[in-house]
Amino acid sequence: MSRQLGSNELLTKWEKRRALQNLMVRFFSEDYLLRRENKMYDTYWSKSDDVCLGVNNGYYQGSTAVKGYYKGIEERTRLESALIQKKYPDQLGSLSEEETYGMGIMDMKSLVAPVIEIAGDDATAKGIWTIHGMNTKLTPSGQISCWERAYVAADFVWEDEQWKVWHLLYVQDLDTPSGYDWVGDAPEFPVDPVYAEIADFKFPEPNVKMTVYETYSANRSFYAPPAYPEPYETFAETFSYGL
Amino acid sequence: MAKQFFSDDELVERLWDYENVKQVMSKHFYCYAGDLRRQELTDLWVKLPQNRRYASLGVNTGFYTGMDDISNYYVVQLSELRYDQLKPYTEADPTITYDKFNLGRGILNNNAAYSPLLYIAEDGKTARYMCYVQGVRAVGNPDGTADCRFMFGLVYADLLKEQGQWKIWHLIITNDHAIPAGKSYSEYPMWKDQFGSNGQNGPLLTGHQDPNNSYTRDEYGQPTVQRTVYDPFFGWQYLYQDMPHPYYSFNPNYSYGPEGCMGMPYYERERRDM
Repeated sequence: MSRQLGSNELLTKWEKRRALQNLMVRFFSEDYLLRRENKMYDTYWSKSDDVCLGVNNGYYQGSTAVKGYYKGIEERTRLESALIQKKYPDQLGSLSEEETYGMGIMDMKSLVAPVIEIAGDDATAKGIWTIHGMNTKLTPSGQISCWERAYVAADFVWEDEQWKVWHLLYVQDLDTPSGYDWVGDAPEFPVDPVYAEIADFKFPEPNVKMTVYETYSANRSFYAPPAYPEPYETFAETFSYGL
Repeated sequence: MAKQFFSDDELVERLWDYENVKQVMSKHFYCYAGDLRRQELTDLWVKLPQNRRYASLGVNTGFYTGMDDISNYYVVQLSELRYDQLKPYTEADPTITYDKFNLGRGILNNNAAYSPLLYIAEDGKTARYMCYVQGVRAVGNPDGTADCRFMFGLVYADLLKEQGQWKIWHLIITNDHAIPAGKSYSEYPMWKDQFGSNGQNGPLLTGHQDPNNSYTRDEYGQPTVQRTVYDPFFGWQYLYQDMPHPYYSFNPNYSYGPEGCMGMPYYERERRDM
């Protein structure tokens, strides 16, 4: 910060930092109600046209593409729930779509080691976190448990008296089945005919295809985590986590 | 006598002190994961000569003291290790050049701080920090295999406020467990033969004796002050004494540097304090 802030200004800044932390915890808890009603984007993302979501294999650039990403999550969750309901007709057969949505799948992501900088002009902010995830995925063989090691870094913009996600970079080092050493052939399990349909589900691809980050393999070139933010006055004088 | 009350302005400053110390330590983990150790020593560690002289970096088997020794171990030796790890790749594939642009091939480091415990001294000049690390680490081979491990350990730090900026002064990076990924925890040697000899039947927790453990084999080096800083076999027994507690001002006898108590059995600490 280039000028000395008074105690009141420092407290306000601290509150904004706290709000940003809370936003990211809510965001990554992936509230199932918001997901089911396709409100993730409207709740957390900026109204700006130049929003951007980066993942290992490319960027979802623009609001239509980012909304498509969430639509993909919503539709996949709906299919997973329907298949799990079909698998357990005695226990789940009588439940409604609303009651089964998200059942049997766990996405637990701890956000740790935050580095957060709020711009001197308070208009934007930047942050990075490490993600340690314990996730369940539905495969043609049924639910499998996975370890996830990833980074999430984001630019935020202050809109309507709250922080909104502007550019998000979510890159994974590992997203692999547990009980497996991360390299070589992943464990194979027999296909369960009830779940076979999940193999045909096509998640929306990024509209800007490129290698942003490679998941770990023994022959991978070295990948450092995304750069952590440094103090800055205005967004023009820092880097972007978007394209 | 300890100062009992702070003004509002002092409280706000202390509020930010907590945030800023946590942030410095988070940055350490990103630098560590990214092999950006020169950047870490330059940006995050003490800068003033009188503090750099007494800076230290502890590992299970001792302390590196002074920034020259710390840099030699933490940066130079890591770079040498990375060149050694690159060699098999260049031999297997001549298109991979043996230079700095390919360093880190097949390497994975992803560490982060859990459960940070932090106290700012009442005098506001120093801070003491501890966290638990649950990381992953892999060292690859050109044939596609890799030594993949879950890494567990405690990290301790003393930080100093230098010209308004919090800086790392004494850092200890301990290794508790280095468990191979994809293997049952119960299969690991410790639980079968904890007092066995080296190697497959050797102790798990004193990992530096295990030639199959690439972390402990390669990364402890030869500390300037060689003594047990952290023995995983007994480590948690001393956790209460080692963890930060509320304090008024820095006392070297309880620091996370070589003059402190880390690694001492409780009876030796009591004798020293008598």
